[in-house]
Amino acid sequence: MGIAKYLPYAAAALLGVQAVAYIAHPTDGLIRPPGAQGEKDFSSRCVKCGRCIEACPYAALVPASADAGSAVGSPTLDLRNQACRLCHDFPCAAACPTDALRDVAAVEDVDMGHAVIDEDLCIALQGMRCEVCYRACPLIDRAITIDYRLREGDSIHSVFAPVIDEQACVGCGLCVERCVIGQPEVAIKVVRGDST
Amino acid sequence: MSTEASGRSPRKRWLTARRIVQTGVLIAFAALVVASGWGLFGLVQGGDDPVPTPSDMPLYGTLSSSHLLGLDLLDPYAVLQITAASKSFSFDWLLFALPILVLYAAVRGRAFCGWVCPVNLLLEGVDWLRGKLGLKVAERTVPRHAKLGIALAVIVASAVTSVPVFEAFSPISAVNKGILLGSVAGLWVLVAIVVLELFWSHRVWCRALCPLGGFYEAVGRLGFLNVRIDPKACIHCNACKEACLADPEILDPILLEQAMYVSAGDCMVCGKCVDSCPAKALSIEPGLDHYRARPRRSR
Repeated sequence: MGIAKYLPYAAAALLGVQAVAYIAHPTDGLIRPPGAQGEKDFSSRCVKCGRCIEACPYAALVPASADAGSAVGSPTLDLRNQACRLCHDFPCAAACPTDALRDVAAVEDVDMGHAVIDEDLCIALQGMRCEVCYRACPLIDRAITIDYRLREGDSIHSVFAPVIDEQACVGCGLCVERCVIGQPEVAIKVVRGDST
Repeated sequence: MSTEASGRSPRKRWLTARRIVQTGVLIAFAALVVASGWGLFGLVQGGDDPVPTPSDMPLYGTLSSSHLLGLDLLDPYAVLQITAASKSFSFDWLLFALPILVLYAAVRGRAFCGWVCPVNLLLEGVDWLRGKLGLKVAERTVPRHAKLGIALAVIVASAVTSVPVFEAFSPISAVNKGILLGSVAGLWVLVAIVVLELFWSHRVWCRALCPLGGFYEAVGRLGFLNVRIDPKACIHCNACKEACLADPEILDPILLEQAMYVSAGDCMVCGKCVDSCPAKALSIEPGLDHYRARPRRSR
């Protein structure tokens, strides 16, 4: 009985800690489905109903995990596991009842973020011919181009460097899913345009 | 047939109906996710080719928003939160929330709590378990109208933070969306509530704290289904008050013969009082008489 007396206080403390954690935790790292109009707009309208998740034919959308602060349960993507296929009819946005996802008619309207290459990890930048991200890109030659140039200090070998056009890239993450470098981390990632 | 003394055995007619509806709602959503080929608890892995989705089914979504036979449905309290959080409004939100509002306004506001909410179902189980464990807890530690204030505070907090606040904490999500999507939103709140109800206060969440319950209490006087008393039959044994899922005090006006119907917005028309009455003095009657029936002074 001694412990039982304090359990209600522990439960109340649990609620308090969670409230503080929610307020303090930023949600900048989360990649949002097509049609999200910036994090502030999105998080003010998303009720976490899960309809976009249940409408994705590639099961690419997942509820954000417990470390996402107040965004827990809201739709996000684990791009390395399953990237967005940019369906032509955007069933996720069509399923959204609250306009948290809206105004996407074409791929160009999507702004999930843009890809960033880790220059220390990318093997193409070190002289190996890879081009996996380039070939995987649904916006090939627009979002990713190959910069063909001679290797520095080497007059015989070339570098086939992938270059991201941040304006053209919509952040679907297929390059992230396909990148051959996984250790110590993926050599390409998607960052949100509005994240600092 | 019961072998107990006639008239004393509690009936279970309403309880049975309610369990069928409560579990039916849980099962309907879950069964259609499974029927679409997806696993429960978010257990699905996509590939390079498209697969059928739950959204192809006649019903999909969660209790926050669902799609039923071409009809979009949206939790009206969620509409209030996103209106406050986004400082904008869409006519569509009202349109999607309307069928829900009409349904509960027709039956009774808090019928959602008594007949649909999975947390109420779970907490009824917790209450049963507490009884089995012999744990004694306090009654009515928090006034039942507190949840009206909490519901309002959540709307204000949503406006201030620009986030629909209850959707971040909702233990209803923890059950409903946990099963259907694998979402852990509200899980810790759910754990905290279970602990509070086991060790601190009887049914404190549903009776006094839940903001969604507060919202439905606010519209709870609307409804065609109402608990009616036959004052001549009542033997004043208070079995109904012991059974009441909402606050027992809502039965006082009819027991004191000041009214014929339970009018409190807190009544969930769960029927537990009706089932518990050994004198069969209580019934749930459809109709609008309760709006006309004037409170009677006691004799």
